[in-house]
Amino acid sequence: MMRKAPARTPDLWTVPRHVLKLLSYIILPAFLIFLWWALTVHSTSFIFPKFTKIVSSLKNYWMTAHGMGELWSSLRNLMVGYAIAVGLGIIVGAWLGASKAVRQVFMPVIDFIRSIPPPVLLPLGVVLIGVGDDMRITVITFGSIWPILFATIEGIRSTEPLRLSMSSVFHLRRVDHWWRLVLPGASPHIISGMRTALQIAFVLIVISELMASSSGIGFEILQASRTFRYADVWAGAIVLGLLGVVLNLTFGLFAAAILRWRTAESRARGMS
Amino acid sequence: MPPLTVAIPRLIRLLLVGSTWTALGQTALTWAVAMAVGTVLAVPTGLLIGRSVWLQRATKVVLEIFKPVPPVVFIPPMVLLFGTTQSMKIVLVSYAVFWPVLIQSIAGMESIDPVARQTVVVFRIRPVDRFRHFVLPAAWPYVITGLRIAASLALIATVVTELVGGANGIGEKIGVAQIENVNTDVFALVLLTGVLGLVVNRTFDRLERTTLEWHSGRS
Amino acid sequence: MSDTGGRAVDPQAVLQVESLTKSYQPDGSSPVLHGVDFEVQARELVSVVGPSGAGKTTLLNCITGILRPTSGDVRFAGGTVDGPPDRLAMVFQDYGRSLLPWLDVMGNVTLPLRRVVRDKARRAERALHVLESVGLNGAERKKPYQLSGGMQQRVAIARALAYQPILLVMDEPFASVDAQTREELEDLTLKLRKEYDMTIVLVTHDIDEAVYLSDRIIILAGSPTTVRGNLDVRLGRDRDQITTKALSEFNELRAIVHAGVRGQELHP
Repeated sequence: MMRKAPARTPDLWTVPRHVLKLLSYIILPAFLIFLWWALTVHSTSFIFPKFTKIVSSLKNYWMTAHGMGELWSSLRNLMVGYAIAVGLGIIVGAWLGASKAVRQVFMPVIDFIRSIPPPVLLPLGVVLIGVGDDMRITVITFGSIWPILFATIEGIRSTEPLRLSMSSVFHLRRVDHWWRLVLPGASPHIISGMRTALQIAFVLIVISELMASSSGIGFEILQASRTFRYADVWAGAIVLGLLGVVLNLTFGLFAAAILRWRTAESRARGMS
Repeated sequence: MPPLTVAIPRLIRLLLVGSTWTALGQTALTWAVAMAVGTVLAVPTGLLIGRSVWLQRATKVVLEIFKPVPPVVFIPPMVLLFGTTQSMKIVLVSYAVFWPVLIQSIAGMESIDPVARQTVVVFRIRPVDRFRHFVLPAAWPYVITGLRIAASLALIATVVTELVGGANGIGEKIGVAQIENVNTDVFALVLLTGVLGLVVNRTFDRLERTTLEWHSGRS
Repeated sequence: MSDTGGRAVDPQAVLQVESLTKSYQPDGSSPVLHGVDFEVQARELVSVVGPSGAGKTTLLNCITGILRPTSGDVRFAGGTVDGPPDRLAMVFQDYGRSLLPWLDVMGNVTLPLRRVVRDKARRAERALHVLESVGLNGAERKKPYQLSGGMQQRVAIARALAYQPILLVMDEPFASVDAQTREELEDLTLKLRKEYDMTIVLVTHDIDEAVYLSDRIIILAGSPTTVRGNLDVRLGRDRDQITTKALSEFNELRAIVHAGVRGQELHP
């Protein structure tokens, strides 16, 4: 006796299901934006301008050549300070990571300095160096180097002992030992430290421009508040958020490239 | 540039002055209240979100946007808009506490073994017991990690409201000293915040470590 | 079969271990190894067999210069070992950890060569040659995780070969692969040993493997660990997984090594 093939669920029902899934992702953000608009649509207050005003500020102020130029000025200082922090952090971290003796000498001091809340370094920077890009870059370096330093130390200390044996048996050259064995092995840790450091650097550049600057996104926001252009301040806050997202995305791409071997390897291992 | 030999005696002298302690107290109070508020708001929210697939989807976009942006970065514009009344300070610093604790709480909820979850449903364990024996032990270490991260963030956020907005506290004192160019005071007070930061870091590091040890010992 | 006794300093020996004693205590008490004596001549394949925890790793570390003996001597190619000697290569049991996942096969094999061969093209040439010998033709650009366990161990062997060492030390190299792969790798070892005229010290806990591969077997046992036996293996130069293992001599040797490892008396 032949059995009839089971009836197939009509494809018509899967479409609404996918749409519902998509909706569930969008519903909250859309609602929040709607809420913001609705709460301020009749607003006449200064501090809480209409949502539409904020949007137009974004378009007419921040997304212009002037606004973008200020953004670029901030980014430039951020990048320079961050790059120095990364370079120094890895080098000093490698030096500390390699020698317990050196660590024992320096760690107490380092532990103390890195406990200083980074923004507090700004007034210190002002009195020591003055106002200007140099100060900003220096403060960013000194504020954001610590996570990189600690991560590098941790990464180096967690080098596989077997790999260290291999290096010593085969007498690997020092440069190969560091550049091809230890540092790549430590890169997951280092990348993680770099990510945290980027966030610190971002906070520092913004605050530094509020305190002692004549350019940059922080300065622009400050000016906007001083001249009562509150819509510009709100829009500036949104720009800050967007900048944070962009920085993180860019970093994510960079991290993915560096750690490509790791994702591929764990994927392969997961399958076997 | 005042070397340590000048800064440390100056710090000691400052510590003999009442206003220094008042400022320290104000900073500490803001920190503590904001930690409490932020945690109380974030933990239940995080556990709820972590528990429901639908909520996870609904909040995913918002979370992914706010996760990479350091909460402290929003404090300057908000301070400029709203000033630094006591309640505003608490709101802003609580915001900085909220995010890491929320994210960790969600992760803690998600870490619960799905088999354990099924067991709970099959045996129809009461919600109260469910919470005590399944949710709490799994989520607890994550929450503690969130608190550790939030603790130092909260200190930074508090100091920022004081530096940028002039709210009462150590940060404000440093700002004033800088404007008046009293370099030794700036240095001394920076050292003081370093000590404060060290205390916060060490305390929460140890708290996290003991919780993790206890937790891994149990499971 | 014979059991040879203590020996005088032999300038011809590639490796000579003399009255080696090693203790991890600062005052030298409770040694792990005691009075270990043996030598390895050129072109010999010598197995060191013993139960787990018998101090085989400690002995290896003394031979490769990673540890210093409490007393006694290790001599390699004429000189006393004091730190990792030159021209000594090693194949480790854990190929997963000893190969570098961020380098491809070519990168892994040529890594030790970077010091001895400056020219990139010549390094590549040497690497390709050994890769062909180990049967990994065409795999140069692959990453370790793309290879099976047996293939990864072949890469590790190729790395050691390309280094052109005087002595190759293998530390339980086939313990982490399945039985089928183990047989393939054992035969590969024999083939390479002939092709490259190699001197090999193989540390293993697999008695069959030791008898199958070796010219001589050093049996370690006891606590502290001492040399319980030093057996010549006369099974001929050409060995085969099936026929060699069917020989009565093979089984006799097996039994003797088994007994020795268990701490029993040896009947030569």
